[in-house]
Amino acid sequence: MQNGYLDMELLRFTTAGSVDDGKSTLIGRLLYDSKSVFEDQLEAVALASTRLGNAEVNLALLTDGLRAEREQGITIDVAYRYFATPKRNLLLLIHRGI
Amino acid sequence: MSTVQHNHLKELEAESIYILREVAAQFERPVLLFSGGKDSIVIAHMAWKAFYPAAIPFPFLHIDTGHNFDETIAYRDALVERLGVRLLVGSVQKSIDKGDVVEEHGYNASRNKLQTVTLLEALEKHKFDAAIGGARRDEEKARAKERIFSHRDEFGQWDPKNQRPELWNIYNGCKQPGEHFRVFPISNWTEMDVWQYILQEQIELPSLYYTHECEVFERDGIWLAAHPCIKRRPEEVPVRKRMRCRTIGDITCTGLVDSRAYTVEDIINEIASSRVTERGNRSDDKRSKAAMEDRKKEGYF
Repeated sequence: MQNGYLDMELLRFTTAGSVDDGKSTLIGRLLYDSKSVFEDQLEAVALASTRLGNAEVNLALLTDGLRAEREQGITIDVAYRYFATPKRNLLLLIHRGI
Repeated sequence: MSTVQHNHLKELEAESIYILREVAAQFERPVLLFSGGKDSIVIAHMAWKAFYPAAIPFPFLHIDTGHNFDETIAYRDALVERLGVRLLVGSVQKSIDKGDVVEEHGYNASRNKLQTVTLLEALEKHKFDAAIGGARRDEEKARAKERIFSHRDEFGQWDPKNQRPELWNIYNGCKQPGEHFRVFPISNWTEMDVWQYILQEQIELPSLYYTHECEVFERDGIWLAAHPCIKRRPEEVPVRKRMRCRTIGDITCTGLVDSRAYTVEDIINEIASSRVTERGNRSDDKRSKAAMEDRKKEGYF
């Protein structure tokens, strides 16, 4: 187990786009589909979505963690997320639209 | 001839050691915030490697809530003795006695939030200009927004909306008098990386991280230690179970998990199959949706 873990390569990637293009939502969906979202995180996001009046679970909230980001529905500062697939470790940077 | 091995863990270690040396070079009075948890133990280990054979060039600061597990304190004292570093202790009890903070009452009383005041007082008293901490971006959504060199204003506050750019490995420690920095050398590590590193380096940990039989009770889905510093409701009857700590904070906010992990390898297997984050058992993060951000803005670490 240990060797497999250490031999994995690290892939760094980010998103680019304008405000409201859906960068955070895309990343949220990617995290969700790759099963990188833990139960307690999803539960917290589902609760926050309801409170913000979203009809569906808003996966952008997985990375838009600051209070002001959630109120305004935009990403203000870079967020770093780390996850792994069986083949590689991934480092994801989510930043604001230009 | 052996070849130089570059793997993921070695890269992380090299980055952290670089950051620790950068702190020693850029600041006049750095300090390492030591909690007795696995993350600060890993940083202490790397600080030892970073400056070896010289001694670690900064003291350790422990903010003691007075509600610590005995094992944590014993481990802390043995470690500073072995490393030959100076230990400073900021006591939350003293802050309460002096009237700087007011103790919370009731069933959910915790000294976790009060620590901030004690921490800021200690930093000011000793004129520390950089406080190294073991926070990781992977832990929590507000910590995911944190720089490695994170600026704090003269009141010790963090402004998450106005952070400096941090390009590649260029760390900017410029500041005005009275301001300070929080530095997070293991920002880029995950919980799994920390455990893999503990295994690789054979780092000794407090026994609380391994399975042990203890008295616990359940509150809001979290198992807490049945200790006199937590006031229990009448229906919260303690039971004896085999548990371990996934994170260690003060007793009032450290949730324990059901576990049969006797070794670091067991723990790694357990984490690999876990469906809950490590701080999912921390009641201090559950106080509100932005509990960590709010505490961090005030100066919490």
